[in-house]
Amino acid sequence: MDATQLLKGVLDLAVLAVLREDDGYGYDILRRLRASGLDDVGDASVYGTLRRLFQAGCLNTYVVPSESGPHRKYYSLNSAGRGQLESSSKTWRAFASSMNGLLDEGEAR
Amino acid sequence: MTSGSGPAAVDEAVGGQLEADPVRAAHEIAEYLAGVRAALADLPVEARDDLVEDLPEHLAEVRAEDTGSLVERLGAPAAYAADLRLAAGLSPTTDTPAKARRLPELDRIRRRIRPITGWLRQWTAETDVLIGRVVGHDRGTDFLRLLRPAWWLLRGYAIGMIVLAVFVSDSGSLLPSAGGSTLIGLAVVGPFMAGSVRVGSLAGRLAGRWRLISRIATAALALLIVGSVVDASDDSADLHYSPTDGYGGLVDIYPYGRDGQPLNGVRLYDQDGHQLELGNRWGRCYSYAPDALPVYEYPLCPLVPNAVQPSGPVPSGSPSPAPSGSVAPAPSGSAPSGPAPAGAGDVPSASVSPGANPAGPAAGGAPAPERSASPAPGPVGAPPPSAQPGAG
Repeated sequence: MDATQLLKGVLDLAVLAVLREDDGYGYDILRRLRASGLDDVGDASVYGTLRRLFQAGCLNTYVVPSESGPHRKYYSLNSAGRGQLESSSKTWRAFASSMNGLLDEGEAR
Repeated sequence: MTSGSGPAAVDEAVGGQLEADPVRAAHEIAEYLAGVRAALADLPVEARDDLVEDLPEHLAEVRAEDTGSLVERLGAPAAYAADLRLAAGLSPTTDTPAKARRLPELDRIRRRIRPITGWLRQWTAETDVLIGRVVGHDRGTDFLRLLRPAWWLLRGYAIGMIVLAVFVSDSGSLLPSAGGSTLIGLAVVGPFMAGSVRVGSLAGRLAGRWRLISRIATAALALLIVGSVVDASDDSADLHYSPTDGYGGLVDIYPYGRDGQPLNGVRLYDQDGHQLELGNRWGRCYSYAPDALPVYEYPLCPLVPNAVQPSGPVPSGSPSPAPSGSVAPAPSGSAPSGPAPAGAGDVPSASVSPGANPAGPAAGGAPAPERSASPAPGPVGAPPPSAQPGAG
């Protein structure tokens, strides 16, 4: 099964979850996603997701200047984003438990 | 989806070389950026700028990691652009090529107000969640979305009523009616409501220009509905003067002509040509010829001709303001349809029948308040409220 297909549906949730811990800039978020095991996540899809979440009003941004390199745009969760994270988490957990139940049931027979 | 790791052999072969050549790195970044932008050229400038805003920074970081060329790491610019577009929820390709570019001025303004629009967007999103908490949904808009079909019905109803008002113009109630028939009215308005619901359920599939047009039309219609409701409530307030300014107990009005004759069938109009509906049409006179009772023509309760008795020393035709002291001034408590109380309810001359109507102002004509008229010679029936003795 192709994990990238699964990722498409839950990347929003993954990005929101990463940002719950701490604010981050694009590449930082990407690294944290990969570090948590989502190896297949693509650079462009993370940036696109960030852009869409920002457009939807779930994220705030601020720019942090850096001496060695380009200025970095940091993303942070706002209250709308936290609300979105909460409701999406519920959806995901319900979905995952249904799937697990289904698989366990098949295994038991 | 592009995968993170390039071929290891290439990494080793060119790694040190790339590091040693920052100019070449900058050139590679610019080239990649240009490739992505070109692949997004069909988007409006604002959307494209938004999409690639973080890209230079990202490319610089990826390039600085020194694990291969950008194309090896991220895939071809066009593929990167496609991923970006997909993840950002934009359509893969749109057929209208960057029409916003025709107006560079507009783009500059857009770019300048972007912080404001961003703030607004965030504010509305937060408010949305807040309202949602109140109404028990994740977002307030979730709740509004449930109300959509109701809005579709209301919209169709409003359009139908506007059409009726334009072509038939006899609606004044909330129920549609045409030529006095509610059935025909419903037959006109009903299809509009059905059509509106149909359009509403299709509108989600509109794209581009039509979507914009439909949104503008919707906003205009909503304003129109609100406006007409406000207007209607204003109108009704205009037409029903509440006689509280000094005439709280006013029940009827008894107009008198210059010659001291009581006038019948007088209609009163305000400065805008609206008929005044003061007094209580149904109160005192309900038993008095209710069928013949005109609509707010004063006096509402005309004095019965033979009940009018000449009384007092007032000479005929002479508008002397001094009535006899023995005359009771106001019969306000007494029944007007019965015989006038002794000494009251008189006219100056018994020979003139009060039934002769001095013409009231024609409907819609200029109000004829007869301000300069001399006061009635005697306190007959109800005294004219503004009359001052000695003004004649």
